[in-house]
Amino acid sequence: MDRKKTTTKMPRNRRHLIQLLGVAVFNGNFKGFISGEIYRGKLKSFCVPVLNCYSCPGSLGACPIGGLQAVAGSAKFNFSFYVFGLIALFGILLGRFFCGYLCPFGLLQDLLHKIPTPKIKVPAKLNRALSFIKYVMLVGVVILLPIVARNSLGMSDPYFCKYVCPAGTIGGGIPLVILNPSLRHTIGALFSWKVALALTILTLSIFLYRVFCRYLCPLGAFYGILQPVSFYRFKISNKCSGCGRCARVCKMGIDPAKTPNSPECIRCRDCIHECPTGAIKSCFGFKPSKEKTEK
Amino acid sequence: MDDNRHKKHTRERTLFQFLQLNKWSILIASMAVASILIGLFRVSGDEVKILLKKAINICMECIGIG
Ligand code: SF4
Repeated sequence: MDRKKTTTKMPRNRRHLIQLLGVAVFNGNFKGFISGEIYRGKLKSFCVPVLNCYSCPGSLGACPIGGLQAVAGSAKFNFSFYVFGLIALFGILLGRFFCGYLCPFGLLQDLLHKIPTPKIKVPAKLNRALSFIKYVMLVGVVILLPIVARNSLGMSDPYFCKYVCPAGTIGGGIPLVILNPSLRHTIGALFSWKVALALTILTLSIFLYRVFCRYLCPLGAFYGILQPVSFYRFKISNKCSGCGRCARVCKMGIDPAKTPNSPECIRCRDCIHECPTGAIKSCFGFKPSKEKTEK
Repeated sequence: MDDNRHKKHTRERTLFQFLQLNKWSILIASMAVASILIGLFRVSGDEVKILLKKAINICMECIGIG
C-alpha cells in the first residue's frame, strides 16, 4: 500500500492551539476575570459562531443560542431573523468546523478526554438515537418553547440557558459567583442543578468523547443540518482503499469514507491525518486539487 | 492579447464551475444574508437592540440564578 501522504496536513496538535486562540479572541475582556464585570460594549450586538456565554466575564460577543432565545422571549418578537441569519451564514460557510476548531466548550471537553482512563464506545444504534436529542434541544427547547411557553406579559425565559447550558455555568455562572459576593447570596436550587449538570457532562466527557457536542448542543445540531451543503466539505477520492482506518480513528463514531459530510463530523481532521493514501480531502467550494474522480 | 483572452476564459469557466458545484450553498447563503438584513432593519433595528441589551447585562438565567 502506498503510505506516502499526498496532501499537506496540519499537525494534529495545532488544532488545540487554534482552539486556544478561539477562547482568547472570543473572551478577550481579560480584566473582567479580575473585576467580575462583564463587557458592555457594542461588539456584543454581534454573535460569535460558537457557544460562548455572553455573561462570561471575558466574553466580547453574544452567544447565538442565548441571542435566539433572548429575542424570541421578548414581548416584541418571537423569532430572531438577525441571529438566525448569522448562524445560517456561519453554518453554510464552514459547517461544524467551528465545533472542532473554535468552540471553547469543545476544547474543554477535548482536554478532559485526554485524561488517561478507559474510554466508552457507544453502540452505533444507541449513538444515533442519543444524537437526536440535540435536534430536540434546537427545535423544541430553543425555538418553539419560548414561543409557546410565555408569561402574562408575553415574555418567556431562555429555557436552554436557564436549565441546560453547561457552557453558561462554567464560563459565566461559576466565575461570576466567585468574583461577586453579592451574587453569592442569591444562589439557590437552580444554581445547584446547573452546577451538577455541568459537572456530570464534564465528568462524562472524560470517558466519552465530546458528549455535549454529540448529544445536547443545539448549535452543533444547527451547523450539522447545514453541513452536507456547506461550502467547506470533505471528499473521498478514488485512492481510497477501504482499509477502514479513518472510521477507527474517528472519535465521533463516523465512517468518513461512507459519509464524509455527516452532520456529526466536527471537522477535527483526524481521519485526514490517519488516511494512508491521502484519499480524504477537504475543499472550499471547488473540487480538491489533484482529484480526478470521486466516489 | 491571446493570453488575456485565455485568462478571461479560464476565469469564466472557474466561476461557472463554482456556481454549478455550490448552487444550494449559494441559495442558502443568500437567504441567510436576507435574514440578517430583515433582522437588522425590522422595527427600526429593535431586534438587535434587544440582543444587545440582553448581552451587556448579566443574564441571571444563563448563570443559573434565575
Ligand atoms: S469524520 Fe474525520 S474530521 Fe469528522 S469527526 Fe471523524 S475524524 Fe474528525
